[in-house]
Amino acid sequence: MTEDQTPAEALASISAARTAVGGRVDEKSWTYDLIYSSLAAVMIGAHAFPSPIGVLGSVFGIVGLALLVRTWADRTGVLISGLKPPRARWVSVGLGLVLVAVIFSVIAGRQLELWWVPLPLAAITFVAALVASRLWRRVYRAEMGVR
Amino acid sequence: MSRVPQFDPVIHAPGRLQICAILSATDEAEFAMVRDAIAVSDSVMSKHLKQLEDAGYVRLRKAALDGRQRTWLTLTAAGGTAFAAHVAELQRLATMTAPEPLGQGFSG
Repeated sequence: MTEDQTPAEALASISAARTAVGGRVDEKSWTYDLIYSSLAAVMIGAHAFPSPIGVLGSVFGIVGLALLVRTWADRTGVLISGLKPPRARWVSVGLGLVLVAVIFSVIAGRQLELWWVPLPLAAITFVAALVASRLWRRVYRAEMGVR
Repeated sequence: MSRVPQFDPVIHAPGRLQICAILSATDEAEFAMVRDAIAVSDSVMSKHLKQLEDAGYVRLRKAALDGRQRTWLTLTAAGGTAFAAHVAELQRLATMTAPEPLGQGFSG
């Protein structure tokens, strides 16, 4: 590649580089999404059980998510947080709002002494996280120009 | 992030432009992944990174994995701002130099 490329060529090379990154986010693999959704569901569902289990479930989920992200980064060569690209960011924000509503519902369930509330909320969390994770991949790849 | 068009001679070189493009779309990218994506040798890649690091645009982090040392690259806030401004300038120049559609400006 030469130093004296035209502005249009330079912009095309930027698009090509971004497409290379987008290609690293595999749309066909469900492994990451399923593990991610399961860990999120465990963090919520654990609160249906007596005191130490809820806290342990949250700690297990947080440590698991950190390990998952790091393992995937080592495997693909890229670490991408959900908040990085502008359009894909909105998928993460949407999931974040759902999770905030779920957490408030868990707290409300505890105050009303309805121990079982976290269980259906865990199922909702699993589905929401899975849908958001799959959608995020699609939006990110489209944003990076991957067909 | 500033979008005021501004040409940046450090970023302008094709290899460095592509490195910044990749890093702007990630939080961290591994040396080998970026090198392969822009199709350069280890030494050329290291030279580009040295210039970007000296300008304060890229931060390097070393981490061991399975006994091998791997280098992770991050675009700094200053690098992100400079890259956005440079892309805005390229877009401005591309618009200026784009050929006019046939018939435009013709009055006959």
